[in-house]
Amino acid sequence: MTLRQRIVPYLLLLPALVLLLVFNLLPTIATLVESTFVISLRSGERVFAGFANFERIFNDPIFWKSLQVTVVFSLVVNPLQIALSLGLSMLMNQRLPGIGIFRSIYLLPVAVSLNVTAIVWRLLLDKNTGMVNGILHQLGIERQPFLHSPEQALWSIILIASWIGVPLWSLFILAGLQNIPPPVLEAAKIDGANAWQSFTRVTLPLLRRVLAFVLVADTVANFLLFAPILLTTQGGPQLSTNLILYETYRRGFLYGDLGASAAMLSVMLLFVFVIVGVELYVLRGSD
Amino acid sequence: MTAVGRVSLRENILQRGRNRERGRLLVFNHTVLLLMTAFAIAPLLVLAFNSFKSNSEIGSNPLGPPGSLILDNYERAWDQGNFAITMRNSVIYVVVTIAAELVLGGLAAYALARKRPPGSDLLMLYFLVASTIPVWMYIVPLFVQFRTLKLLGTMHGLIIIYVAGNAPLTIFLLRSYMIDLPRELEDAARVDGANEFQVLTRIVLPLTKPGFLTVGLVVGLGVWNEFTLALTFIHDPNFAPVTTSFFKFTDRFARDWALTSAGAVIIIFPVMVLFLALQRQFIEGLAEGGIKT
Repeated sequence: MTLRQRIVPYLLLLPALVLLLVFNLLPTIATLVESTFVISLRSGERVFAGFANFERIFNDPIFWKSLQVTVVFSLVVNPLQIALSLGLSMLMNQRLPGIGIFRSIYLLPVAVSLNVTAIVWRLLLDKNTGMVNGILHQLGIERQPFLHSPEQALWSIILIASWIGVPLWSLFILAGLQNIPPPVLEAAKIDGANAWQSFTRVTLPLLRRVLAFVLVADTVANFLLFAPILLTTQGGPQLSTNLILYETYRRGFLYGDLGASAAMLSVMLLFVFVIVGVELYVLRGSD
Repeated sequence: MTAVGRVSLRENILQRGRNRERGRLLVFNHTVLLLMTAFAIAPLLVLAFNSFKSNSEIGSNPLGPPGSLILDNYERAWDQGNFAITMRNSVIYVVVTIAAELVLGGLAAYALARKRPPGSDLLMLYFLVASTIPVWMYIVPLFVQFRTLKLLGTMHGLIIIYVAGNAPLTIFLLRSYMIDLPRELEDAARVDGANEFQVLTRIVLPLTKPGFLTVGLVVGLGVWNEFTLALTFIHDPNFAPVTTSFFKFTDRFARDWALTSAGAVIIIFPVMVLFLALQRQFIEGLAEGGIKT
């Protein structure tokens, strides 16, 4: 190989790498560094503080409460979205009359921006004038406070996130389903497999890589949910929807405590690494 | 002969059973389909209905179709939301980001898929991890950096953030499209005397077009709908995209639902038409490349 041939690939990679280094990797490292600094009250200067910020957040009940909300949210929203996406994708992948129209409408929310979604659902869930309460009222059920109640707000957020999330992940699962050659499923049917058997023994194993991708991407996306919180509840009522990324925003931007905010982000980064590590492990297993 | 006859009889009995079963399944399937599509479209329908009503009509009839079509809301929303300018800005953000992203990502993906220089595996690992890290993780240092580089509040500054933020996923997806291309085509072109640049532009690019379309659509949808970064990095309303101008607009006219609905429809409509038109290619593109079973 000539020198030129050896250099060409790096030249092709260079623009992307420079951009990522300057605007992605360096700022991420800066966040990690920032987590070890505090602003001195006496001089107003940034001083190195070791793990003081981490100690501070680990002793802070609001941080733990926020983590707890995030865990509860994740444990509900991820299985819910994935189960619904999978089931509905399989339904949408069948040859039924009018399925093309159903599929187009079902996937429509993917094209709607998150802030429009959040604003529209805030109106729909309004206690007095919202559509949802209008329907409940028609059915003889009492009007619900939804986003204004500490008990119901998180569930309302789950509803809003899933309105986009379920069709979004369905896109990927539908693409995966289209890659399963129909003869494979027909062969299973001829061999006497019932619908459940052909689902668990043929479809699921063939979808494993797609599902692993969707599982991890969905988990990370929901772990880092932010805009709908900012636009609807702002973490309230009573911090019941104070998901972890919103808490870092509250701490850093609203209270100006950048050290604690960076410490929380560093902890979250660790979580993301663990999730991606699991993804790599699962993907490797299926190759 | 008898064997064939027996099989077809058995088939026949099975078929009749299957038809009954299929009939029941059809009813069940369509019920679920109707419920799900209703859940998907109801909010959008209410929004569209309300955008044609006056506020007093929304008060008396918050859900149903409008009594008469009032286009006044659209006119007011268009003016108040500064949409003439912000719509243009959003188109610039989307088009320039997609173009830069595909060039940058295409070159990098080609190098990784075909040349495999030493360190490729490490780079892929980095891209995979980086694609999951949202900008919120490092927004404060980025903000400081932008101030130093005088990029704060500029359109090209925001485009740089979008391109960098989407680059890992773009490279990852485009690489998986390119890696599947038969190498023989490229070798044949080289034998015929094509140089590296010609191989890339005449052979690889045309064959990976579905991949570029899919990635372009993913990136474009993301940028059109992006909101929090634009809110943080752009303060001059003349440079704002539709999403932030809509956000400020709903803040100002929180009680004016007719106006807000019209504004929302203005934002949603263009992307929805595009998405509907390209949906099939989009899913096929995903199936062909990035999403492997």
